[in-house]
Amino acid sequence: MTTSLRNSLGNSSVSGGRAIEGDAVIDRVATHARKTGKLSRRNFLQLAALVGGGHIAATQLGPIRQAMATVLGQAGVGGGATDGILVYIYMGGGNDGLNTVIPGGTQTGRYNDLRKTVAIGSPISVSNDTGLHPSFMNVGARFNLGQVALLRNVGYNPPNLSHFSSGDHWSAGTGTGGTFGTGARTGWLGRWYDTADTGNPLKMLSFGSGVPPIVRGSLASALGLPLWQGAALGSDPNNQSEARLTTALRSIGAQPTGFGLLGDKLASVNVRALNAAVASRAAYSLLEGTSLRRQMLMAANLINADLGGRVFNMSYGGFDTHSDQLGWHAGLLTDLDQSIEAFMQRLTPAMRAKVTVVTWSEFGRRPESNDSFGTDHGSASCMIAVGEPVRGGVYGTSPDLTGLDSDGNLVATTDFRQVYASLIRGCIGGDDAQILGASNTPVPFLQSLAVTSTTTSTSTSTSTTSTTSTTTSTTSSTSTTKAPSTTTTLAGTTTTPSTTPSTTPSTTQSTSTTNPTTSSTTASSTTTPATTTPSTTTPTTTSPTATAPTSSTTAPTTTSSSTSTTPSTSTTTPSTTTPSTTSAPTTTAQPTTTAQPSTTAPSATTTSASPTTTKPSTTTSTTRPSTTTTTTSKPSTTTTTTPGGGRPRRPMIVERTETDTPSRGVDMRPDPRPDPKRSDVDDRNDSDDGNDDDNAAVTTTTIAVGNGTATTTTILGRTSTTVPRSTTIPRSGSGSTTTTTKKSIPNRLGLRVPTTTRKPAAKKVKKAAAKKR
Amino acid sequence: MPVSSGDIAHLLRRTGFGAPPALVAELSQLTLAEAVDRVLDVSANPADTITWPFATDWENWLYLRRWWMDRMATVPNPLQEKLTFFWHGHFASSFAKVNDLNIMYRQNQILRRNAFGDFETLAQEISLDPAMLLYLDNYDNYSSSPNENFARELMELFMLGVDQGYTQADVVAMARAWTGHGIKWTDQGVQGYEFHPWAHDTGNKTLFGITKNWDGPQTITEMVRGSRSNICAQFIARKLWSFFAGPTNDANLILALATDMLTSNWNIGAFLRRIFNRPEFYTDSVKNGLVRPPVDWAVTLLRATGVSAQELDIDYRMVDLGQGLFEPPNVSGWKQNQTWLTETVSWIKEDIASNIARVATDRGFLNSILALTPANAVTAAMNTLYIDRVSPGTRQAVETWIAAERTAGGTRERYNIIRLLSLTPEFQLA
Repeated sequence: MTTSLRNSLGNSSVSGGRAIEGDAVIDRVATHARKTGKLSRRNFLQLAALVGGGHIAATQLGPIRQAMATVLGQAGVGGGATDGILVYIYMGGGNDGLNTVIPGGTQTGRYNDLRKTVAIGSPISVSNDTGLHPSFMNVGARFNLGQVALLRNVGYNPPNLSHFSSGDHWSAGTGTGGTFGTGARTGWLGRWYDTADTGNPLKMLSFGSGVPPIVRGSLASALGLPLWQGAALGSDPNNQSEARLTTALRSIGAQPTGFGLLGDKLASVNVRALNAAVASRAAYSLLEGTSLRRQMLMAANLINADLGGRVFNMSYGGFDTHSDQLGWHAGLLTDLDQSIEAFMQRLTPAMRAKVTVVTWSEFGRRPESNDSFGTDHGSASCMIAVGEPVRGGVYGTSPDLTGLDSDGNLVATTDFRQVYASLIRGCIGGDDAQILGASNTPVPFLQSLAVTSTTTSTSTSTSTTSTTSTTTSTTSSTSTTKAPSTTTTLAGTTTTPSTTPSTTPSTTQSTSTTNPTTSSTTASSTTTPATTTPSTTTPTTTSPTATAPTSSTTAPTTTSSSTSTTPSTSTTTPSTTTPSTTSAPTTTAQPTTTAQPSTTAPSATTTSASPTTTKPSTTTSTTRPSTTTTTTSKPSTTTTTTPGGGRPRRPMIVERTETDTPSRGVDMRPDPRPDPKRSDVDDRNDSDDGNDDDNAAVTTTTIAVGNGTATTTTILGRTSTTVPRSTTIPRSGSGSTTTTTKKSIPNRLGLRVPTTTRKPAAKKVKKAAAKKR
Repeated sequence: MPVSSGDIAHLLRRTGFGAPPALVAELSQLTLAEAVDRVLDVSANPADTITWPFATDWENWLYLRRWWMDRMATVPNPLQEKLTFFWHGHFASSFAKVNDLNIMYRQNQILRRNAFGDFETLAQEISLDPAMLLYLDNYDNYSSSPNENFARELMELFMLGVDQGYTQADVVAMARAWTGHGIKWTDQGVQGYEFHPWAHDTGNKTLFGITKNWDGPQTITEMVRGSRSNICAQFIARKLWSFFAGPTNDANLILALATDMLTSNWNIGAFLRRIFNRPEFYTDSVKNGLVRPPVDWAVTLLRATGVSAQELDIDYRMVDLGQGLFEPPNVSGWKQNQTWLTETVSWIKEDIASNIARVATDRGFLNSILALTPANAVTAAMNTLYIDRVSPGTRQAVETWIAAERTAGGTRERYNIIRLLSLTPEFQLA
């Protein structure tokens, strides 16, 4: 808060009248808050408006902070392992996980065979069986700092190859039972918000035109903010004419319309939009670049303002790379890499320590490429987590390229709900079992999560253990204060009953391990092999640090490793009672561990002073038994043509993302438009009050953007660029007259300019090649 | 027997862009069946020929998007455009990937030409048109290693519905059936559809349980008129109903609509005639059950004010809002209702309304209300903006506002009343 408050105080050349009014609001609201321990959403907004609008005096800072802290405090901000902020990025269209976090080591040959022309030749090596797409320059560097977790082969079984059905599963987070399509369309983050809503409308935000189901709950939904602020009606409380208009809209929104639910919602959403326009003003400073970059900078601005935001949902698209994948995909990942870095750089150090960025996509892509230099819809994919709270390393089993399903797709070995459980427990706080409808074993990729026995091959449960004949499973009794039940998920992988100890790929199948049966839940868990174990057939999984397990008491974490034989099954049993600081149980240095990225304890956050240890990698991966693998690879007679680059890259854009997400078009535009603000909309000046907009508190900022400069003018908090009003759209491409911050978009995006001439030459080459077959 | 003016206004709003009071009065003299026939008669609409006015493709692309909005706002019978807009969202293709305005325009013409006609013909033409061939990669679908993109979406989104009557094996077979249906390229670019026998898989494929040498177009016939006909009819009929009447989960109604479709022998005009004559179309729940999609909302404002989209930079804001023409967000087109109930949408709508209101008032639009009493001014403004029904609360709020505006000596009354009314639930409901 301090930053924004100071800033706002800085320009609070406020007229006496406004300040007095602010006083009244603050007194009333703050008193109410003190008495009740609560703030209404509306009251919060009034405060936020004062802060954002710069209409407060220094003496008012205390009460405001106090009042707002009342709200924020309810959210649990201010301490604890779940003090985190989640930035959640949807990669729309089905991101090719195999080309994002790339299987290497013993699978390199198989990978190259399958991927043919879309294979990534020189990934950034992060462990000896895993690489990272070369576009990840910055993410790769942060990996070496221990700030990046690569979660491999995440998904669900059996997979659904529809963008929309699969996206629904991921969004709903309740499993694959289809509860999403038929029942209430709530997402897992929306249900988290149902339990965490404190009246602060800025607690969960979603950028872009829509508010997708993932952030919709049955009681509360994310607040939607546009990427472009525009005129933002009501955001200038000094404009009396505008104020009268907003009063009318609020009046309409305050009563039943008589036109049913939709009518009432339409009326009330206007009010919320008015509130949002005021409260979110801090978001819109110094934005630039691609759609994703804008969204992330908006998030950074809001996080820095410390208005209580806990979840920032955003998306970008273009990952449905059925054809011409290599160049396009590289561009998208570069955008991600650079946007994340810009975001991190924008954050203040204090806030950076709280933020975790996580990516997801509705599915990965088919391991075997198609004949269009692309890949069709697949199943499991990777997730990437970046941030100081992250416990860096490679998690989950490497995708098994020899154990594909009957459609030629990967069999997921980490259920996405395990990741959600991790984020709930370790970042945003809450009861994951309630939110997800089942208990899931977290993946300890956050430092706030205990590492415990994830390294062990066998499963242990907290209370009772029963042996089941077929399943294996791993895992970890994550010691958190939450329900100690460790249920593993991945229903559907029951088809893969065997485990292969890590060091011996696919040979020995030591089954019969103990399986965690949670105290309450039963059946489903027993059938499923857990998957949280990092590692696979090849030794890897370096997690640079293992922090001391926190919160002991409840979790009688015992871990036993039953799969013997492998040298890798070391168990770390963090049954410690000491929450931290002291040398926690530690781990055994693992022989199999390799290539660990300079394990410096990542970022000293105050939390557990954990001994950095190498997490033992482990063991039982739930890979399919090699016996049953059906390789679907058609006799690939085809591998012809030139590798990857023969054809000109036709610009591909998203044909699909979650529909509520910004379109590819939004991403890519050169943005030559004039500022849509219409403060000068009428030549007739609104002379009814002396306090009107056009000539107060003007500040001008010039920033360097790309190879030009943009002048940003701020008028009472409203920002506009230098672009003169015009009714025609400036020309595309070369930019010419206007220079705005929006101009800096890289030019692989010259997409907007229609190309009537495609180069047919390459086509012909390909045709000829195809003809020969 | 004449119909209530409320029903007529509802019919006009749903089949067009707003219900002009004069037209409501006129059609209220007819029977419902006659009124529906009037709505369906689009013979007076001008041809959709276009002449590119600019030298650069970029300018012409912006022109194209605005051209369609203007056409929606000005043709005598707007149902043609509204239906074309429906098909645009159904057989979604985006300039963002196709990247050629001529191709997008030609697809638009196909949609318009077949909008009221035989559904199978429409599906066949769209499938072999370069826009779709490019958008879903079928131009790149070779027998050696089929590309599944088009095959999957053809069944999931265009014909049957997700997981309705097909499996992943059918997707693979379907992809093989469509191999070789590609594009003719020359040095001048895309010349149109071209079949490439050398890329076509002539082997037997098992599709929908039938094993034979399937060819792409045959699969559409099979879905529309063969073994998947009932599924297809339910899917298409329900989607059309959803677009015009609002979403429904009523299984009996969906079956009845599918029967309407089959009885109409897949003639869309005949089907629409049936559903617009259905009593279910005029229930309160239907009347209050649909939010105007942004294009509908914006075009209605253009139509009422007489402002041209070419005068505005409206198309960017439409994209921000989530509904840019020729740029659906993905292959599933646009969703309804809830999608448009966000702060962002409301926020940007206000921006667009301001844009339109500025041009309109500069030109003297609503000048007459300045001389009227607040109550009469509100009535006049609502009539002019085609607001045919209004809640007491809204009316009260607007009257209060206008009185306050005049007391304060505000000089933007006309400008502001357009902005205010455009954001009322009354104007935002379809």
